Amino acid sequence: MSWVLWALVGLPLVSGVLLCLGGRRADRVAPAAAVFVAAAGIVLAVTAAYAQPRAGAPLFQGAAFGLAVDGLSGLMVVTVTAVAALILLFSTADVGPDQARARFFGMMLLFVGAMLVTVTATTLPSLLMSWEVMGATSWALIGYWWHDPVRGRAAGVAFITTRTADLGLYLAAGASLAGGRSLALAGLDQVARPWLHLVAAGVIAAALGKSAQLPFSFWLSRAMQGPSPVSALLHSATMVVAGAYLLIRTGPLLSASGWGSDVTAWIGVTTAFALGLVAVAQTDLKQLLAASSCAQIGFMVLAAGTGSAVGGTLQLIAHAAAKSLAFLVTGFWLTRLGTKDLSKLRGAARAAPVAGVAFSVAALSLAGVPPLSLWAAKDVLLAGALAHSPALYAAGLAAAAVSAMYSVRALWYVWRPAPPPRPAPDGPAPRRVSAAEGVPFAVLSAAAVVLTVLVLPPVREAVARTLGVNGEAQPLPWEFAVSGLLALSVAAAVWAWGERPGRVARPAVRWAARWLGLEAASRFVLVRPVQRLAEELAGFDDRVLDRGVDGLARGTLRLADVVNRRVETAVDGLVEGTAAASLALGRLARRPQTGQLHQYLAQAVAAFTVLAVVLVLVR
Amino acid sequence: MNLELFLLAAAALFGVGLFGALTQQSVVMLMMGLELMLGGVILAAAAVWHYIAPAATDGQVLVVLAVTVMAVEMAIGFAVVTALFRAREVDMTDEAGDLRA
Repeated sequence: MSWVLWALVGLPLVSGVLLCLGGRRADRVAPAAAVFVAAAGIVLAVTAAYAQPRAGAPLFQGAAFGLAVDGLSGLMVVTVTAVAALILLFSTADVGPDQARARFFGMMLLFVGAMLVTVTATTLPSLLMSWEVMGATSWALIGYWWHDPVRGRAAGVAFITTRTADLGLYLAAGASLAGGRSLALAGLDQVARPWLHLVAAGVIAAALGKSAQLPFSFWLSRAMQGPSPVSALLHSATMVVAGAYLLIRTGPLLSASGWGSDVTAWIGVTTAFALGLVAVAQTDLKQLLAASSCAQIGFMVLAAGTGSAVGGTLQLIAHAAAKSLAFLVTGFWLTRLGTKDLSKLRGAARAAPVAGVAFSVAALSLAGVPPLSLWAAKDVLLAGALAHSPALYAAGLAAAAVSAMYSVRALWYVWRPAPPPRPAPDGPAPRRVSAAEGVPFAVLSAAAVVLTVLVLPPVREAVARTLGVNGEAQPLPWEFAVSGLLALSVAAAVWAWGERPGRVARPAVRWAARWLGLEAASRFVLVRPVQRLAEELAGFDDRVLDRGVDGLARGTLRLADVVNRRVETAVDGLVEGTAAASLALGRLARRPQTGQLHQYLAQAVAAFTVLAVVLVLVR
Repeated sequence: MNLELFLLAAAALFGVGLFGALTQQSVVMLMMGLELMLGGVILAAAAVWHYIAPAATDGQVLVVLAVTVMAVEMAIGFAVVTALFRAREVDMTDEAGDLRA
């Protein structure tokens, strides 16, 4: 059955690459092809979830490229493919024929394929590969309108931020090897002691970065520069939940490290609360939803930290439906009305009731209003938090209340009785909802309601069995009641409060609206020092190393010059002198050789005379 | 009269000729030394033929050849010396150094 798995991950990846390579020529077939591939992907995903195949390919010594579908992965692949198919269907209407559709749909398919590999990866190499491809395609999708430098820079910020956190995964892989284990994800919790902490730290850092948890949240704000369907996909079922999925998957590792669980739980709940407040302060609907994603995923991270895999998974699935729906409706309004500013969206829901109702379902679900799915899923994971520590439970409840605040605030604006917003010029009429848009709205709205069933005890036990966990904390009825009442009362209060300015100090509001200044802070703490260091090093390179090399060259030349002028002339002179002396001696030796025989005789007589005298004197 | 006597006379002739060839500065005197050396050689050759192999005629031929060569050589030598003297008033080897090969 492993062919099902290969087909499941291969189909979107290969077709995505083909569409991207096709360029503008493939624009006409791209939407149909993408929707078809996504639909086929749903079938394959359901098959894989039932068959639970394993597949692998040899890659490195002791670290194969491993893929497998178990219970958690099965739920994930179905969620991913279903959400992706609906979003791609919506995109056929949203991304018009005047855009580079092949590039858009090809990148979306690649993105989905990378996510599918991520959730089925059983070894770190396959996880790392898909993790990277996901990051790269997210960059290409956020910067889809690359003609606009602002969007290009935003894509760069998002990419660099996640990429920095991704280094943690490499650290984890290295530490896992050093700890003497293979690179299988399942064995990470048995790594030898000192290395285990490094593995846990690396995995947590990578997951927090991808999931835009504190302190990495700001990249999600910049990611809003991409097309709406991209935001819908990125926030609901792919990149941003990949981190939460990884933390749920490596739960044993977190508990084995001893500190990982608490750290993730607290970071998750802090993010859920703080980014919820950020969402409350936003005036732009897409920014509000982005901050809400951070907050909702904070709950999943909290679930991973408190070891309630069931709660985290339910939250993930329910959130995927609600958040993709919210983004799709926002995209719909952005296309029809040309604005995503909350104050300008007054009455938007009344203009097109289908979209309005869909958005209301999504927003109420995000608010945690019963009987919608996120209300119930959140209680399952909060039960885990309560078992862990009451403080966590209290913080989680507070974050849930905040989520009700921002959702209802957005709802209040779009349902204001106001003259319907003027349609954007050259856009279709705001009332008309085409089939490609209506079907995803309907299906996702239904899902937001129906998914509540997953929480009811028999079904929940089935989910727990599927995930292979047991003995997790079960929520009691009073917890459901408490959270439901809390959400309802906060929602009612916000609705009644309306637009009146709050009592909160202006600077605090501005600070929250600026995403807590995280980006500026990261620039100040990380980017500026790194750049300064790079400049210093470049200066050192220019001033010291380069100049040193140049100086060495100049010194060598000068030395050569001196040697040439002093030493060389001396040596030369010696040689010349020797030659001249030889010449002179030769001339001297030629002088007695006159060719006159009688002179030779005279010389011989003289020489013998001298010899005789010497002999006489010496003897 | 025997071979040793002739060889002694030939050696004396050769020695005197060699002394002259080595010591004289005048070209004429130098050539006279050469004449004496060649005379000694011819005398020795003739004596050796006469006393050792009188039956073989090649000795006679050799002696006659040597005498002829000597005569020719001297004629050429004196011609050169005469020409030189007429041209440059020179009769010493020292001034005729530029003629060396």
